[in-house]
Amino acid sequence: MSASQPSHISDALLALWEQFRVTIMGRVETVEQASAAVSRGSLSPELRQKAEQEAHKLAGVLGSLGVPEGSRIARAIEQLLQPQATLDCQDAARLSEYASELRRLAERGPEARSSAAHAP
Amino acid sequence: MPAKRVLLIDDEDDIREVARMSLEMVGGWDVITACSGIEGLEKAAAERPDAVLLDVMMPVLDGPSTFAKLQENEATRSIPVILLTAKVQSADKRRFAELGVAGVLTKPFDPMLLPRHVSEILGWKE
Repeated sequence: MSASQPSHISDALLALWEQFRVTIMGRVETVEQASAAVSRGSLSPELRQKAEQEAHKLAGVLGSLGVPEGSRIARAIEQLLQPQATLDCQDAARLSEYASELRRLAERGPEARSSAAHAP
Repeated sequence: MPAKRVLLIDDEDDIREVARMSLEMVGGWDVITACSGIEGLEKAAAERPDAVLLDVMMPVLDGPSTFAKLQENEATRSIPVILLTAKVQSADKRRFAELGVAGVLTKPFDPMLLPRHVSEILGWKE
């Protein structure tokens, strides 16, 4: 079915990554802000909702752009930030760890396209 | 045979562009895009695409509501709709499938495989 060579598609995906890198890093930053607020015990409902939404978006897009582990981490963050979930100090530590890992993965960028782009 | 025409409705620029690239470059299809449910309804009625790929979570008019409005309009009722969602829990997917859509695909998707999965759902021959 492929109408273009895989190398052209890889190039196009990399170009899209570059195009949306700032947006993606902005979303990561929102997650980090929420994580920091949880650690301080001052997470507002507004920031929690925004960070959950940004994590949801990251979960949807990172794997498609070649960062599948980023999608998995973002989904875990989204789950932690669900409005009905209570956040204890263990959750705060996990959230902080996830946020750091998310930044590391986002800064590293896409994996080679030979690896699967799917996250479960 | 003319290329298939697919309407892609998603409010997120990044995922919309990845999906568009995939459907165009891998699928070889013509892709029309809309960044909201309302815009999608207008384009579906005007363009009569062969299929609609519809994001679930959108502000104002979400995917299920957009699908319901497509069904209400005789001009768009017969267009098959595939929901695209980042919700991966089976209960969510089952709930979406029960709306009467042609299929449900999850994000993230592999851009190399998305057109194949769309074709399989719609019974399009590659």
